[in-house]
Amino acid sequence: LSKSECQQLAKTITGMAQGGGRLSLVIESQWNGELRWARNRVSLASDRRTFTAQLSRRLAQDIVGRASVNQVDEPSLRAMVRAAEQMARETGPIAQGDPFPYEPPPHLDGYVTPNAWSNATFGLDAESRGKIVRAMVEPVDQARMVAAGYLRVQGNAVANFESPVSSSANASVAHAAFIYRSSTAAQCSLTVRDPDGVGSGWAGLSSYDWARIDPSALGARALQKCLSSRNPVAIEPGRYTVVLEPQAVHDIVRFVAEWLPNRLGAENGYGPFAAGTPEHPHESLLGQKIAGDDVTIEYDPTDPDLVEALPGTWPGARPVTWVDHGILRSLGYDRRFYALPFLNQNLDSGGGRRAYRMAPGHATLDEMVADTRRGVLVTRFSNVTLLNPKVLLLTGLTRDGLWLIEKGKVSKPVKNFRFTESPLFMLNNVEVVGAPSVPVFSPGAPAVVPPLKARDFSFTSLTDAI
Amino acid sequence: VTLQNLTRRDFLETSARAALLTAVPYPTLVRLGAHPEPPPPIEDVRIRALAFAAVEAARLAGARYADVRVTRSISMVAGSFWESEELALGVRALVDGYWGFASSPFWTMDEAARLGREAAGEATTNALGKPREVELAPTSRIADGHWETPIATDPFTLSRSEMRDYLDSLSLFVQLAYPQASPLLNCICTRQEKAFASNDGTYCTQRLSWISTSFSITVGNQQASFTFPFGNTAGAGWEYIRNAERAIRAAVPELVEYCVAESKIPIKSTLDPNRYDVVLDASTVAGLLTPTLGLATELDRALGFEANEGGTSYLNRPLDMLGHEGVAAPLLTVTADRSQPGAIATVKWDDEGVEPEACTIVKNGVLHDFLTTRESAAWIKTYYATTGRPLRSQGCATANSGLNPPLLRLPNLMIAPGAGDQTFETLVAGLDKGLAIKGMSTQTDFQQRTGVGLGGTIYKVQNGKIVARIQGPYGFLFRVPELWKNLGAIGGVSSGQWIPGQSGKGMPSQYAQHSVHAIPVLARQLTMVDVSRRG
Repeated sequence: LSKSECQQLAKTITGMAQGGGRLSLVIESQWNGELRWARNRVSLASDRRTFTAQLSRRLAQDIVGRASVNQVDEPSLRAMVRAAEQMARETGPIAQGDPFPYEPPPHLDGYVTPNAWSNATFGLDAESRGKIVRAMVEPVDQARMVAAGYLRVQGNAVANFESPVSSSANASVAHAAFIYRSSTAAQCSLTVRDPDGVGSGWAGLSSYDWARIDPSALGARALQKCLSSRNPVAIEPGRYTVVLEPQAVHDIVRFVAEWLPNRLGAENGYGPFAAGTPEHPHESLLGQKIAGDDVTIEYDPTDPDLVEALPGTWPGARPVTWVDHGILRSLGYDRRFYALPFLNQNLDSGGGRRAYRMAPGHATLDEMVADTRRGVLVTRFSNVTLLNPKVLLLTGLTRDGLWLIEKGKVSKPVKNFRFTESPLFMLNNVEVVGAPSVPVFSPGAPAVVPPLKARDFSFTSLTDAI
Repeated sequence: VTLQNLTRRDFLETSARAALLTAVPYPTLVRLGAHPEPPPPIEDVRIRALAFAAVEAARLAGARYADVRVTRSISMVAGSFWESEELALGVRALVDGYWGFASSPFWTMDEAARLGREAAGEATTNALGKPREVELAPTSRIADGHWETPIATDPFTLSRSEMRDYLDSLSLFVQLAYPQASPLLNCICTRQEKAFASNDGTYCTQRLSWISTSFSITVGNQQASFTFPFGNTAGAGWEYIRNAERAIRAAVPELVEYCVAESKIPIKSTLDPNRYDVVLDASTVAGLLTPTLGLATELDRALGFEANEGGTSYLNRPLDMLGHEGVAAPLLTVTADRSQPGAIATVKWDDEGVEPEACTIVKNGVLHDFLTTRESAAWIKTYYATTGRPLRSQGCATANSGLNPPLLRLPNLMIAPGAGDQTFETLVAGLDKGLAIKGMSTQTDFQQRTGVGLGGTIYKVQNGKIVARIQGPYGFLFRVPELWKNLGAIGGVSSGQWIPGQSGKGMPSQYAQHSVHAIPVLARQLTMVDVSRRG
């Protein structure tokens, strides 16, 4: 939906609201053009469109009702409004446990709309998608390997709207806040396997801009990884120096990124950044060293590489440096914090943002490998599960390409490991932060990440899975 | 009125909130009637017209085969303030062996026709590629079928206050009677109405209902849960809670007792990493079955169709393995069944209009069949031919909404109980030295070859008795074939229990649930480890 269509919808819905208070509305619409393939043939080509309107009606400070629909006709919208209001009335005051029940209206000063719209993405029609995939699969077919993969292009529009609701019949939209963001998103990933099941390689990338994804390079990379990972040998589990490709870094550091925008959690004793003691229960690790000197993690709402496809929340207004040379500088605020008198109204939150950028160092991946006496090179991690949020202990598997590095050279493919490790431990044991930082495969909450070398990464058992 | 006898109605009358609770009609989005007319019920002829308009448009645009799913999904948190509704229409078309799919939320004749053309167009575009053969396993034509999850009380017709009152009164009962216990009860009701049409002339509609709930109480740091007949999620209506009300009240003393008894078991905080004989409860076994033999027997996965997402299967040569491959001890027989009333994946027809029949996937420890859809069943037709069985889909096609294409998803899985009448307790009693585990969950790798058991409660067993509860981050590592082959004994009929299971699949990922009928087992020589220990 266009900006004016969303504004029109917001106006219509506000006009339907009765009984004062406030309303907040999220309108999302999305187009998906997709292609899945397996065994070197396209298995499904699809075109899917979605729409949702989610309404939250706050009749009074702590009386809230919510409803959503996926229809745009006026009667459906009216039904949603009535349902939310009725629910608010029937439910009554929200149960205890919500320390900040009132969300003040967002302040929009300084907010810059990032340009994350790409015509190359939106214009990639079914025919082009088919051609691209056939071209990607052809070399795999010729090498007598088999490919499975997924390509998707999306056009997204999300509008956030907040407004007081006049208790009189003439609904006023003064003091209303409205933000419209349109963006595109593209992703392409593929797995190339040896038909005998003795090797597997993967490559993938997501970006708002299809022009920045080179599908033939991805195809070649997955094929090369498959061919050079065949017939892996078992080596003992244990602690290894690891050289992690950017994707592997992201597959575990994303767990850190999920906790960064959550100061409320940290100060209430949840997650890795809580530092409460019985005497000072609401302490967090803010200001303390949590990672190696070369680790810097940032978020910039104006960076198109970090635009989330359908952000449900209001945008943060300013760039924020979460981790600055290893020191935890910032934790994200929820908008509800603005109501607290001791906080600067203009403090920016970054609340809810999981997209992040990790600053690069200098060495390239090849240089890091050349500088490693013995270690393993990791393509990516899979099936990652959180074991303990307190220390962010994770377990999961390596997948689609794992090699032993000996005397500065990639010497041979090795069998996949299960790992048990915390990304915070890993970030503290960083030997080299590599370069460059590149977008990785992370649809939804994008990330720009460098390769990295760390010591003492813990692999706990072997798996025969390839 | 004593507390024990305090009924819901007494509570209503005596509650200070009674005045508030005079039933305001429950405002579902639909019955509130704000659509020019509310969306028609799924049986309505207008839905049929919509479905066939889509099929016909796809056919005219060149599809050899086309099918459509029209869905309306609603869900609510009973007694709370969240509810949502989603309408959807999705068309799938087959042109020269290539599939196309198109979907959107809008139920109009024009949109249905557009989606039909779009789906056929997507397929046609890709049919330019190398030849791809699709054979659809035959299925009987359903001229005009309708089926509903059998429910007694439709939660979507109840007033919100009434539901809340049920839940609140139960909580209040526990709080008053057992001040040391803190109860927890919640409930989510979901319904999906769906219509399916194909150009084979099949047309059928279904109204599927589910309810998710749990009741547990916490005393000190011990928690005990009430066991619902199908576990915490079932294909049922509000009666699932109402019928359990009396049982829940009656069970509270038992649950409290259980918590107290648990808290008296001596705690041991270390466990030597080693191999142990372990009794696993039904819930742990259900949690093991889904991500191992369940996923591994999805035929599309076994043949690489999920290679780029969830992974492949260690049962990767179906035609060589079927009928020969030993995947478990001869004690183990596993059946797929989508007809059990109350189970989550129970339907009359799957999302390709196939009526699923129960099929045995593991028979006496040997791989006997794979889970299939109409297209995938034909991939192993030579196996069916040589064993003299008809080629047919196992009815596993499922789309979580009309917005998404159907995929091969897990049906309800049932482990056949053993001949004796072993239970968790008798298995423990028969164990000289070892461990017993309750409620452990499982993570496997992307080929279901290895895995790790996490969480749950671990007990030390000596001379047939539980002597300690082991506290600490312990779990077990396993290789899947070994685990199932090392079963020493399995529970009997009375030890069987339904446990909900779940899985994600596909790109974009679709989430689905199913039920597992599981029994406790004795697993020999499991490798126990400290799962938090780094290498």
